[in-house]
Parts: sequence; structure tokens; C-alpha cells
Amino acid sequence: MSDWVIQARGLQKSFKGQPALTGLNLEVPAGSIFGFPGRNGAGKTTTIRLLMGFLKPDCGDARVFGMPAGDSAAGIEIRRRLGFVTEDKELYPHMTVEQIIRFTRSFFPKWRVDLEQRYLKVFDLPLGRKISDLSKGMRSRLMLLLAISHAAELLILDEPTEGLDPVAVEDMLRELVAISANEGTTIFFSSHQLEEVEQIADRVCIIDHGTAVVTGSLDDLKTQYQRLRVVFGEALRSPVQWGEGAEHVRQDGRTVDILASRNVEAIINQARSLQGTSVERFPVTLKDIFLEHVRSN
Amino acid sequence: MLWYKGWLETRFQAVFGLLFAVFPIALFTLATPHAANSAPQISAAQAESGIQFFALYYSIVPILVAGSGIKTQSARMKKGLHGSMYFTLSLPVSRLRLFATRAGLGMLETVTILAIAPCFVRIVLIQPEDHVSHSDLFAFWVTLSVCASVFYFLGVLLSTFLDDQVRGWLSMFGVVFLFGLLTKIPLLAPVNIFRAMISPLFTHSLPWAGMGISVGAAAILGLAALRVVQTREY
Repeated sequence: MSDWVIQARGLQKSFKGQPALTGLNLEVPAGSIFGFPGRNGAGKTTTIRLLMGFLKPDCGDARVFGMPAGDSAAGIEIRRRLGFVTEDKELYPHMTVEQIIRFTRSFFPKWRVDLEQRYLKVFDLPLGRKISDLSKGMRSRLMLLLAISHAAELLILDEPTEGLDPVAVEDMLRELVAISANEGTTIFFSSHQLEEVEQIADRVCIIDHGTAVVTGSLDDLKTQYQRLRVVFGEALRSPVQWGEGAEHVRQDGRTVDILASRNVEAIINQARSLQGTSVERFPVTLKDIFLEHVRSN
Repeated sequence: MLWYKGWLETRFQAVFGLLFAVFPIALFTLATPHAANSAPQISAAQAESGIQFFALYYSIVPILVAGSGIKTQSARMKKGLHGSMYFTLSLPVSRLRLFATRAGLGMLETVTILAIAPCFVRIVLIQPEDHVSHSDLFAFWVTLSVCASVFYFLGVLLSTFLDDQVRGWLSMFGVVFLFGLLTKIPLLAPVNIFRAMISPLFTHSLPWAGMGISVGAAAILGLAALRVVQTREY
């Protein structure tokens, strides 16, 4: 397997003239838990549909396992090797849990009965119950079970925790981490719940207006980004041209808040040279990075 | 397993189609309890006209059963949701296989239900002196099924981009419009598939030309539907 399970370059897609993706670049390394946060309508689901081959890009290239995602023959092989949890968690309502497991199993020669049995217990799924009688949370778990049990190398999860109660969310996140750790499965999941992304992802790509605004390892991003608060003796009379790396600057009277993505020391020195009376550094959360980039975008 | 899934999804449509097919027999039998022995005395022309009309009636059956488009799975979708369509598309099978399974199953259901039609003709419309043998009735069933495949694949094609309700009404309108066109315009008589459907009862042979036209038209509609399914974005 190549280092990248998913690769997308310059993806563009419009619907009735409205751009949904505007040149998205994406690289998901094998074995990672990759968070794909973005606002509603940012292009998350469109990206996933392109990766699944449901849509074709207007421009650019999307590859999964090194194969073109839009190619119908390659698409069958891709879908054999990945598990997918849809945004609306809809399955065949007239089937029972047992029937849909049997149905799905028939398409995957490498079906893992041990995983099926394990997650039936973990997710507490009633075999005889009709899918139409399951709650959304149970349908989410059932979809995850179906995706995991065929020994998928990659899980693509579109808003996997949407509609779940907090306990179910915690259970789901814990299981995703366990699956990645135990089976070596790459997990690519979209979400607008930043806390969840921060909790389990090791890499992220923040998407906004159809393009990636921040990409990288979550640890690197947290190290790289810092929030600086500079307090001056009196309000600055003219706007300051802060040094390279000052991504976003907000001034409120004598206080200036700076989100720095690099050259933090240089920015601190610049603040001191401008007679800043105090300079404080704060660690940032994914939410800070997300909000700053999305607001400015 | 796609067959099984298809059956679970279409069984209610199939049962409805069956009831629709049985309805005229039940109506006639209930109205005249000794129907088989007391069929009304009518002329051959009246019989042909009557049977042609019931060929139209039975042409509705494939429309009721049709619905092989992947989009049909989203028929019950609520606003913003897409039913089980994405789950189906995420399975490692080609769209050709998905389409062929659903279209094949629907056609099988249609052919099975249409076996009611010869029974209806035998019980209600055919007189003992008409000399219609069992093999004629069998030929009628075969012809009816082949010709009705045009309407089935019309429904299939429409189901690839329309929801079930619109598809149903549009297909029915199409069939009735075609019936009017083919029966009222003498120039179109050679391609009148409604007449071809019933001809084994009168000519005691298979209408190869009519069946050929039907197979050709059904193939064109089926291939167009397949093309839509294969190229459509979901």
C-alpha cells in the first residue's frame, strides 16, 4: 500500500453553477485517524461523494488506494476495501439487523465473523429487530458494524456521531480509536463537532468554502499555532503591520490578540519593541484554529 | 442477495400488480357465478376489440411493477435525506449489476402476473366455438409478456430520474396515449403492439413482427435506462 490512502488534487465541483469544491487538496496517510471538520455546506459531503465515486469532479483528481475514485471498474475494488457510513444512516428499512448483516456479508469474501460478533455485543444490537424500528443511534452503530466487519482498510464516515446522545458519542469515538489501533484501519471522518475531532484525530484538514484552509498533524498544529495577548500602555493609534506568521489580529483598546502560526518569537519581540507592557502566550485548541480561519475565510 | 433485497423492496408492488390483474376476473366471476359456462354471446369483432382493451388493461401491470432505478430507493426519503441509495451504491458491485438485478426481477414479476391474463380471456371472453387451444393461450401469454416489456422498460427508464408517483402517472399516460395513437391511426396499424399482443388468439401463431418491434423498443428503453444509471451522479 502507498503511504497515502486518499489523495485528492485540485478537486473542483459545482452544482448548478454554485461551487461546492474550489480546488481541494487532500492527503490521508495510511493508518491515521483523519478528521475532516468544516461548517455545514463547506464541502465535506461533496468530497466524500467524490471519493466514493458517486460524483465526478469537474476538475482535479481523486484517488483512493492509488486508484481513480471516479472509475467504475476501480470503484468496485475501492468499495471492496473500504467501509462507508452515510450521513443520514439510512439502511433498508424492511430488513432486520440479522438480514442486513447476511446481505452485506455476501458481498465481502473477507468478512470477519469475529468482528461481527464482537460489535454485535459491543453495540448491543438486537438481531431480530427491523431496521425501521431502530433509533438513529442504533442505525449508526449497525452501519459501523457493517463497515468494520468486512475487514475494511479504510473507513469513510460522514458525520458518524450526528444525532447520537453524548454517551453514544463517547462509545462511538472510543470504538473508532480501538478499531484504528487494533486493526490498523485508516479512518477518515467528517464532522462539525470540533471537540470530537480533537479527541480522536491525529491529522486534520479544515475545509471551508470548498477548499482546505488548514491541513496537518493535530500535534504539529497545536505546537505551531499559539495565541498571543499583548497589552499596551495605551491604545495603538495606527494599525501595526505584524510580522510573518501573524494569521489573525484582533485589537480591542489596549489589548491585541494575535493567532500566530509561526515565527512566534519574532512576533513577541516585535510586540516588546512596540512597548507592549505584557505579552502572554496561550495554547490553542482546534476550535481556535478553526474559528479564526473560517471567520477570516 | 441483490435478488432477495429486490424482492423485499418490490413485493408489495408485485402483490398490488397481482390484485390488479385478478380484479376483472373476480369482478366477472362474482357478477356471474357460473362465468365459465355462461360467457356472453358476442361477435368475433367484439371479442377482438374487448381483448384488445384488456391488453391495454394488462399493460398497466408492468408499470405498477417497474421501478428499477437506483433513485427509486430514495422514494421514501424525507427532505434532505436520500434513503438507502448511498448504502447500496457503497457496495462493491457495478451499477450494471444493480440495474440488471432490479430490472430482471421486475420483469420476472411482470411475466408471472401476466399469466393471469390468459385465464381472464379464457374465463370471460372466449367462447367454446372460438377454438382457442391451451397452446394459443400460452402463446398469448408469451406475446403479452414480450410486448408488455416495452411498457415495463418505459417505467424503468422513467424511474431512473423520476420519483415513483410521477413515474407511475407518466407511464400510464404514455401507455394510454400510445394505445389511442396505434388503434386510431390506420397508418400505424402495422406497429400496433396492442393488436400483436392478442393476435395468437385469432391467428393461432406468434406475431413475430410485433414481438420483434417490442423487443427492439424495450431494448432501446432498457439500454437508455442503463446509460442513465451508469452515468448519473448521485
